[in-house]
Amino acid sequence: METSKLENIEVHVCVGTAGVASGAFEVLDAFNEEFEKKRLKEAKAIGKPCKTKGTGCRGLCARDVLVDVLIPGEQPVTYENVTTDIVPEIIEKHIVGGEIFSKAAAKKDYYDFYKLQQRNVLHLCGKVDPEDIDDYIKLGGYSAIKKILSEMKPEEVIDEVKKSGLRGRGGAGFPAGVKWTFCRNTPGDVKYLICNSDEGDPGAFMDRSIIEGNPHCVLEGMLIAAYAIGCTDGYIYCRAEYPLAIKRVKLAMKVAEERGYLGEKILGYDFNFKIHLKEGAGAFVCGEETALIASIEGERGMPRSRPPFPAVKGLWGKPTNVNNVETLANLPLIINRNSDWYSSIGTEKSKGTKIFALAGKVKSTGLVEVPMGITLRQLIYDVGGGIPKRRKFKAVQLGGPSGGCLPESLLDTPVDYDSLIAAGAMMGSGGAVVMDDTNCMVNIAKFFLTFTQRESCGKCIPCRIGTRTMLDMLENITSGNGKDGDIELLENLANDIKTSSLCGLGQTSPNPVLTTIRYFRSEYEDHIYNKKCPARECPDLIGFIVADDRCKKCGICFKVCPVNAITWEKGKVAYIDKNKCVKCRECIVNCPFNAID
Amino acid sequence: MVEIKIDGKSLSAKKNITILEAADEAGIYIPTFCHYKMLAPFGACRVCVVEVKGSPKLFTACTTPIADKMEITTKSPRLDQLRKTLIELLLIHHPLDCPVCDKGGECQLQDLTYEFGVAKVRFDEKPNNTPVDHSNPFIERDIDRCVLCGKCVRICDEVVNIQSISFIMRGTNTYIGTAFDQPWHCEYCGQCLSVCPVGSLNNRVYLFKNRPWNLTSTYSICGFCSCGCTVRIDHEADEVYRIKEDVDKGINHGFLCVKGRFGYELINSTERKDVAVITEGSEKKEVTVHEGIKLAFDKLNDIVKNRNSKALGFYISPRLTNEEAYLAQKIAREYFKTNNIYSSEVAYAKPEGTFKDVEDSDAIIVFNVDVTESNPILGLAVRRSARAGSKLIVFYPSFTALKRVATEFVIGKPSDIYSKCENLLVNLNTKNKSEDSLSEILKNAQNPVLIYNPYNNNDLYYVKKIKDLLPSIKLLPAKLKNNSQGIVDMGCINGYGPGYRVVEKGLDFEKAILNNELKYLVVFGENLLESTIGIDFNNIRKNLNLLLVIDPFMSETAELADIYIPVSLFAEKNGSYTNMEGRVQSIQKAINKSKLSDLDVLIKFYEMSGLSQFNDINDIRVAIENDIPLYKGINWNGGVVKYSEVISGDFSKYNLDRGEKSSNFILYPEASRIHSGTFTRWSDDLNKVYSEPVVNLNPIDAKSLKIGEGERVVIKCGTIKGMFKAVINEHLTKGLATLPDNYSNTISFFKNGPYCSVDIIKE
Repeated sequence: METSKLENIEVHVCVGTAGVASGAFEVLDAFNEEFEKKRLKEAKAIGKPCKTKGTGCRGLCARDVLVDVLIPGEQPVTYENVTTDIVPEIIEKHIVGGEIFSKAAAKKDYYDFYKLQQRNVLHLCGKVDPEDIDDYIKLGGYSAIKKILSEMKPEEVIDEVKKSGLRGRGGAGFPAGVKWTFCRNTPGDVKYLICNSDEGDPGAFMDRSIIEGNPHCVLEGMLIAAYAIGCTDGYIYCRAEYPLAIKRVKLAMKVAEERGYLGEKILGYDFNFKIHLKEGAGAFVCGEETALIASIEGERGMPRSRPPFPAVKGLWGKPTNVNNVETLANLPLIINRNSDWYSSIGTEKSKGTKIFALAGKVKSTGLVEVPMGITLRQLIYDVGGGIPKRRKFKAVQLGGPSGGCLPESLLDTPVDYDSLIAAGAMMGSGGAVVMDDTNCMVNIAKFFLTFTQRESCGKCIPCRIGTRTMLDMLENITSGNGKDGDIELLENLANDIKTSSLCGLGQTSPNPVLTTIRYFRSEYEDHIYNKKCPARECPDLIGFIVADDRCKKCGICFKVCPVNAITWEKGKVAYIDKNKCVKCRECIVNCPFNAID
Repeated sequence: MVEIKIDGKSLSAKKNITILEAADEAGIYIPTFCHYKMLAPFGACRVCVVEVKGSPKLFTACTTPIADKMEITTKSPRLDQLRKTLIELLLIHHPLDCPVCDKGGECQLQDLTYEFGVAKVRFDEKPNNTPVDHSNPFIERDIDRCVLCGKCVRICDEVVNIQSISFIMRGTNTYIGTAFDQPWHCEYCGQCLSVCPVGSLNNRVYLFKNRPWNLTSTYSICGFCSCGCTVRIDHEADEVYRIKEDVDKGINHGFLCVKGRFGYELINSTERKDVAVITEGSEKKEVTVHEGIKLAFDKLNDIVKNRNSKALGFYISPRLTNEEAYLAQKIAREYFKTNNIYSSEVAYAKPEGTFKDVEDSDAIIVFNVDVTESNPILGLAVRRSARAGSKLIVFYPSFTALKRVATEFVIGKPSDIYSKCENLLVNLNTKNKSEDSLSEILKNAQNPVLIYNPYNNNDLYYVKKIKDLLPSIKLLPAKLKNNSQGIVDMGCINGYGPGYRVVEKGLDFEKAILNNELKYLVVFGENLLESTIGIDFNNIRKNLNLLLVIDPFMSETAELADIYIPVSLFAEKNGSYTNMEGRVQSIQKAINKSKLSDLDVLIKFYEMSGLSQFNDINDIRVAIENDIPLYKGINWNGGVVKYSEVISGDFSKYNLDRGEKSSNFILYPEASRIHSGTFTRWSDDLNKVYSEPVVNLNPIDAKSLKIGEGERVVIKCGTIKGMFKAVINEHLTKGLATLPDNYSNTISFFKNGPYCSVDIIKE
């Protein structure tokens, strides 16, 4: 980050959701109080006044609260895991004393996290104050919309986006420019643009972080798309479970309208565009565009058959274009820096960067933005820092409940739309859950299916009953009631659900089951035929017996057992009393020697 | 036209139709489950999936439009397997209680299970087990058997437009229910029931009474209101078990109303008489029907012989068929030599528009008639048309069910409504664009329709004016009874012979009885005590020397008769009705309860009279066609009579002094979809939901009068007084109150017209 132009000493505190959850507001207040107390807000104290700024998520949520200290002319310094009690020390040592407070300063692994990343869409997240339009404008915001309004015809904007190779970031990866053309070519005076921020995948928080960290770039992206397509009204469909995102985007909309970036005659040009905010009511299926449209209309959120596609007959029967938050957030970049630059990033068919929410058994969990084409191994080991606790990597689940689990043998698969589909997973909206050898793959399939069957809207038979039936079968298998032929029946049913479901939710819901069977069939067989869970995650299939040969008599199990079911004496093999045991698995998880079967 | 191939067969098909429609036209069968032709495509069940060459994805035939050069496969091992899986999945939760399910034998799930050969379900079966809901008086709801095809929800929304049921919850927990699981009360039309493919929604009137394979179906025309809906009468051993619809037949597209669908038990009523009843002094004597007819004829014959014909009158009900009505007036005029032919119908308002005109209209006026109550199926046509984009203007004292679809809804006291109407006339008369949205809608309309109440003279004044100013508007009088139009065409009205031939006018009915000029009265089917003819029949009965009543039921009027002859009902006879569109439709005899029809009675009269014989319906139809030019060459199975001068006569403006005095409320007659006149009150099932006249009041009025729901109130208008149960109705306009006009204790309020100033007092 360039600090030479700064007029003030700035302290940036991450006030994204993870930051806030870790106490970012308290940290921010502590800095302010301390500055106040020491009169550091006045220029005369140490040459330049000290200012604080709340910024959006910068990615490494595992280390929140993250704080950047920017002193003009000096290298910015990031502090991690900041709590209120070390705030005075940071100020005293670093800001006043000019010496980095190394105890809390980020180490090498923090910077490794960013090494392979290419933060384009997120480049302002963590720098810009999401609640200050001027900050956004100062950092180059709203220049793309100015540019297209003054220099480009709508068709030229579409051509530029087509040339850039931008594909929809919502999951399916349909070329954005082509999608726009459909809507643009449908006759009609009223057309709608919908920004889909109903991000519902468990463990995914890409869209949320963009809106929370830089809401104006989403609005600018919408303006660009609306201008190109010819939309008169826009909707942001944001899930109500994102209160911070809603608060910030509401504020951004209000201020943007006051400043003439939204509304009638935008920036004095003959271009009108108004944005409305619609809060979703907690249904995953409303991320599907036709269900989302039904939901905005006040109907039950159920998908509709396509054709007619929304581009022809969408919201209130009018031509409608639905794009994901991340897709829209890419647009100002493409316009500002041009399509050649954009298409130089990524692979032949997948251009640009992709944001992933890295979660699960990986050291650096958080939000990462990587160029398309990076391998899964780089994503997990180089960016994510590998698997913690010296465990062994087992699988990565990509694309949320719609995606699939890929095994170690596929770690060199490049991250792009088509390679992932070929491997049985999908890009999805960008969730990446890493699993190690303590994760049972049947259980993982069950976890995702529990989610999809609960979120099925209930309209079509295969999704409504089919997913539930698969779940019932998995429950049988994990509880030791699996039967010969269950795997084949699961495969058959999964394929039937895939081909016959009405919408994407049903069509992709069997993916976790199919990929786990494809890559981890032996685990299923162990459950069914040997009544064993190799990963020892399914309580009904664990013996809770300490293996004499592997037990190193360390007594950890004895200490962690919450119900005192384990007897152990120093130098002796532990013993588990099955009458007392509640099968919580604490002993198994904590045993360093895998000695409990 | 586009060229497509289905299962290798080359076809030319219309553009923009779905694969299913194209296949249907080509006679190629594609199984469906959630599809219903009167509803928008839904695509939920996935049973109709087909393969399209060049696409790895499957397409649902019901939702996918065809495209040029499309090659479609409807049968393949892959599709068979898939369809089988879908049915298997349904059978996991669907209880297999088919032996005791009313749907057994005509259940689509059974049929598809059989068709796809689902002999064994590969998955563990977990049948649902929740209690059955009986909160709706006509519809049993068993959500266990529900397959969530959504047809009931969609028909209640798209067709009926009251959205009384919806999908609740999601995933496998989804069920069909009411808002907040309240008891299910609705319009009771049973449209949902008619589309339920399984035994989830059941007809409570039919429940557990028979098995479908025992039943014989006879198509006929509904005998209740003037819509003329095609019904399927399902019967066994001369007992009607249920009335069903057929989506492919009739003007009603398979829709029926609460009366038509659930009111049929009156046909099987045990209160119907098998014998004629003769009153001698204070004694009632039962004789055979044939003896009764002979006695009646002899008495009438004596009147003619004694040259007392002038004092003889015939009152003919619009329940009669065309053939019966024609014969009744003919024998009255030709043999009994009287011009005193009466009915409660009117001759000056004739049909012009049709249901199809309503469906294809771009503007509709519903003028002072609560059409969804009085003629429910016409009401559905209006709602569907308005939902499809037709501009709907409604004039009515209070909001009706059309409020949800109306473009403009004018409410208020009668004087407010008529003054709005005056304003409309002025604006229609000016060429310039006006501020008035109502007139602009009408002026810009290509196919406007006006639905009105032909029995209200004040309304007719405005209807005629609108028609004069806007000749393109098609008039559709909302007539009340099944043959309201036909009996007038047949000449059953004072002053007009068959085909509106002007004849010498008979005596004025009311005055003539009061003055003792009319001393002998023959009544075919009319219940004079409870119809708004404007007389207090109970009191003037003593002025009559002879009262002969021919009626299916022992009505209040029949109780007063000297001779009562029981006759058959619409399901028991042949003939024809002319509905409110002027459409002539034949009815079919479905059952035989060994009763003579009105026609049989008339033919017996003819036999005894020695006049030329009519042997059957066809003889009479020949006579009608020869006698009435309007009916010359008519198709008796759906032909539409073309009337000239659809509205004629001098009508008077609404007289303020008469309707709105200083009293605190204006009472106007309430139409009810539950009852049409007094006839349907013989149905115990309909009485369950509407058993006595109630007064509707606005909540604010009720509050200021300290009246609670269901409490008794006294309504007073001069010397007329009555006590009624109050119903608090938020749709009612403040200052207004309603009562039905066809009960013996309510008719007197309306004897001077449809509006009455009344005082309402808490009991």
